[in-house]
Amino acid sequence: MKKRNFSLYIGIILVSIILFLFLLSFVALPYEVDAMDTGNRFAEASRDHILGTDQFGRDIYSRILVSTRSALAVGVTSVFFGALVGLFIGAVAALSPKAVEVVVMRGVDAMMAFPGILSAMVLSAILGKGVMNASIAISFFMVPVFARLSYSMILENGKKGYVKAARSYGVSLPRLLVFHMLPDMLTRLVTQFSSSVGAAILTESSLSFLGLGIQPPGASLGLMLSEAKAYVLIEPYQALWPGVVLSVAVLGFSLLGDGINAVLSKENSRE
Amino acid sequence: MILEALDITKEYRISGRKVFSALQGVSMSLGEGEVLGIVGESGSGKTTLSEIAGGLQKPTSGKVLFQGEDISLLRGDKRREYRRSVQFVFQSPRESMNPYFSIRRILSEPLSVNFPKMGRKERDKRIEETLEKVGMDPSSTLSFFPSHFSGGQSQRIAIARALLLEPKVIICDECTSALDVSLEAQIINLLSSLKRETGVAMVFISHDIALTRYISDRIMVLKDGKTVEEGDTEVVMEKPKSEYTRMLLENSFL
Amino acid sequence: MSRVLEINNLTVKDGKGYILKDISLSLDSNETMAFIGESGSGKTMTLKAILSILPSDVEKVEGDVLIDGTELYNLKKDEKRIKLGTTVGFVPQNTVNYLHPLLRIKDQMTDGYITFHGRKKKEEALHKARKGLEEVGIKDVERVLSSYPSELSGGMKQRVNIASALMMDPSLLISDEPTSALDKVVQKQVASLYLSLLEKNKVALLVVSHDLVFVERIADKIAVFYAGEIVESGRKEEIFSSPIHPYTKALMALKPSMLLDKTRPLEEIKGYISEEDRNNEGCVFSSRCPKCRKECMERVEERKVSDTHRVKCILSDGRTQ
Repeated sequence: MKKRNFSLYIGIILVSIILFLFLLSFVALPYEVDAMDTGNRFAEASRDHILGTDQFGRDIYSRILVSTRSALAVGVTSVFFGALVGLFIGAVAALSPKAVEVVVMRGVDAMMAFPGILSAMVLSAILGKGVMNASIAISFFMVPVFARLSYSMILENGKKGYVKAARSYGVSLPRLLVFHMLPDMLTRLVTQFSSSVGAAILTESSLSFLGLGIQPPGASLGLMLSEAKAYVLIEPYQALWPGVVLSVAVLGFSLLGDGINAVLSKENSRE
Repeated sequence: MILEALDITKEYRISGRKVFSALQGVSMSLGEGEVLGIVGESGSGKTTLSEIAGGLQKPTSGKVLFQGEDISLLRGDKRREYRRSVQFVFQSPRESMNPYFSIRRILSEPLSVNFPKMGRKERDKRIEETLEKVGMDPSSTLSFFPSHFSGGQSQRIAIARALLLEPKVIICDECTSALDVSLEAQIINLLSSLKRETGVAMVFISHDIALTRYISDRIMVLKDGKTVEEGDTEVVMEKPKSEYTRMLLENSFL
Repeated sequence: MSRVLEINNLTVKDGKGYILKDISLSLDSNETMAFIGESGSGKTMTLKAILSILPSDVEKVEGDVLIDGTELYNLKKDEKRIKLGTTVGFVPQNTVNYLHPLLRIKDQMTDGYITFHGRKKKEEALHKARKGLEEVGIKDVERVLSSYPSELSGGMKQRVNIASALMMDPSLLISDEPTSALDKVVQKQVASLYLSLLEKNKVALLVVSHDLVFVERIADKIAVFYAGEIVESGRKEEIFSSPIHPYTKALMALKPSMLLDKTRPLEEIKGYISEEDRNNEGCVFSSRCPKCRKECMERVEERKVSDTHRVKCILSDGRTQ
């Protein structure tokens, strides 16, 4: 009996939706994000505003399109840089003498002990508001995750016969890492990367929701939710679409990660 | 003596203050063209000792001499010479070759790393000759990936890789214990004919005493990180001095 | 004596051809049978067919597997599960990965019993688990029961797996490569353990092993596998002292011994089992057989040497040379 990889299919569909919205925001944006039309506040969905307007009469559909830009930009770049730094730290720990290893990995454990959103909030508070600082804050909490990953994978791979053999005939360290260890690590890296992007998008929205990320009048899903919150009793519809898109993005990247993992680990286990 | 380990200790720190001693003052020596068998149960430290002698691990104390020189002091050309003179063949055929490399690449790398100036033609010739030496047909081997080959074939290719650099010492760490009996015999015969033809010295690590006796000139018995007994194979086998060796011998044949 | 296992003309194929061809064997209670042969010979695949866990890319095309007289492949999925769960105990090769790392031994041992006998039997299950552990020679039963797998040594885990298999009072115990991952000292202990279990329990044992020393010690009957076929089968004495098939002979010569002559190469069987061998119309061993003749490539038939001894070779005329 063959199990279908639903995670992968659904993940691909959901992520494609987000990417499609992201593309639309560049080629077919109906209104500017901050174009107000105060005479037309809380408009219902219509031909002019397919998802209606918000409390300032701004087009919700346009704002959602633009929001995907910040979500993806912050999500991908912060995970990318966080992963880069984390992988480096983990590799250093794995390849260093015991004393350095212990200090570094305890530090990583300490970083991991903080809930991600909390450390991101603290950092944002220290660095100040804004997209750039939100990205830095999010990459900061991606660091320990990837540090642990590269640390454990390098130790694990170092026990393999072909890695030992390569060392015995004198392959240099960079070459050893890139050609003999990286290919085997790629599976888990890609998986972790995809799931982390989902988590990063959620964190970006949370920071924006709390007023620490994207600043008005810019558009972010979190910011839109935060603004909708004030009117939730009279205009509950306002929160619906940003919420849906956010869920799609987070779920999409997590499922994609799971799906990729299932595909690659199945390939590896095949003899 | 081509390779010596003097008074080696190796300690691992496990959780906090606890220290596990894998080796407690073990010495070994290997003469040119000699086969040294190391036997012991799992956890006796035989793999750790061989990896320290081969430079894959650093000892906590003690030193390793290659042709009389301390390997931790070797630099430059001398270090490279040591590196390529001591090669390994490991236990698991499946893990002994990088699954993402073709056999051609697996066998080219040791040469390109150690002899960057060697021409492509010369390199290919050497690879083909070495493959033939271990009984593999180069034309039906080189373009495949490791997963294409059975355990016995993989182990032959791993031996070819070790031989490519014309080493003075090959360390075989349980290199037959993952194989079936029929393949085990093939590999042992291959190793002993290589020893005869090329004069390479070997460290043969195994928990199979009958095989170790068959291939070794000298034998060393390890238990819990200490040497229990050491000497000429026949002497140790015929008249074991220690109770432990006798026990191992009896257990080998149920 | 009752017939616990009977396999008739079992044939299994995948996309490329035969995986198992015409496998027939039988096993009575209180008997031990060993499958020997090199990897890729079909030993483990036969076990999988008995346990009904054939991989998805292979298919049984012919033959019956009877357990306690019931044809397994005629049963419905659930009936099959219950039949196997209550009559066959399986001890896997990789004992380390077979235990759930996050469950106490107590919980995983009783889980199977509860599945088949109901939740009310929890106490009974625990009692059975205790008895099983005692039987495999574990002294501090209570400590083992409340341990997690990571707190036990390899030999201990092996014993726990055997005890779990015995708990269901199986009529057939199957053990896959029980000694291959162990060193010689522990191997001897495992052999003694199995022997004492067989004395105490009315159970048939089926062992897959390439360890000839172990097999000689423990087995009553032997089936020699090669490239998906049983090339020779018989009682232990027949296989060890008067083997007929050239492959069996070669295999027997490989039995490790302290008397190996250091001045001569070890006996070896040259070459490997290849894909073509399986689909060979003649003898599957012909490509590696030192005595191979032209007719061997074209035909092969099974001969009866005695009531128990059968061999698939046309050269031997059913006599030991």
